[in-house]
Amino acid sequence: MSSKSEKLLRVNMWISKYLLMAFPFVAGTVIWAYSTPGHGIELHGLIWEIFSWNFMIWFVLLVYFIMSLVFWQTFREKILTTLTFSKERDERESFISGRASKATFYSTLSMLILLFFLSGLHVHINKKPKEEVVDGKHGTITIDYKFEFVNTAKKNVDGDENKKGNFLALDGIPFTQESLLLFLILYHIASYHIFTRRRLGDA
Amino acid sequence: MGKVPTKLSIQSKIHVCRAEKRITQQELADAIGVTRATIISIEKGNYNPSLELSFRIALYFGKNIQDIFYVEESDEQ
Repeated sequence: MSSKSEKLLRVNMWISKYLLMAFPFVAGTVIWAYSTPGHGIELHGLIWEIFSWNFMIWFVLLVYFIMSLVFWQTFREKILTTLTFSKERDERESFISGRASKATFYSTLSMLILLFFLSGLHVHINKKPKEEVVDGKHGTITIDYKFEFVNTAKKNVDGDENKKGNFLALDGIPFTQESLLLFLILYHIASYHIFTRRRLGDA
Repeated sequence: MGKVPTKLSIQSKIHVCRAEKRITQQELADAIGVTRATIISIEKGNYNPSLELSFRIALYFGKNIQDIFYVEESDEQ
């Protein structure tokens, strides 16, 4: 690793520590704001300014932290090794970790496939009123499978008057749960193959 | 050429070498840069060390790899 990325890694580790240490103050700021009328809009004073600035800095750094986790492998491995209590002190533990990762990969993948299947599945069992009973059939069962890429219903709700004049409005992820699950399944398989190929290329 | 079994049971004489040298599992682990749990696993035959680690162990005891590790006859073919 170059000295530049080592320095950046050190900075990121300091940011991680700050995020952890400052979390109680951030939580305190949120509780303080919500416990006052107007959810903190009418709060003034030096202490409130310090707390709110801390909250803003913390949130911006949190976004940077999450982006680094996604896009920087070295940082991701360093942070997530600590968070998941993984141990790789020698070759035996690396071997065990590799086996566990493979088992986790397959079990997570199978769980995602199950959730993907359930996310698009619609089963309706209806009981007919007595007057509509035909040939002794008292009800109907409808099985349907639907896949939508984006959440169109949510988009229409969001397009109300409250959004007028907004420079930027970000309300969660616009994709449906089935498209997200499909993305995660494909991402899981692709990342496994990319890392395997990279390792094979190194060997 | 003879038929080679698909699975070999590799055993070690590390405990014997340790006893000769009068060192503990922890001391050996520290000397070759692994954990004590790894030494225990190798001694019990639960873990096959890499070629590099096998050489490190052999070098530490001043012996050949064959003097420390041996293959036990296995029924599995």
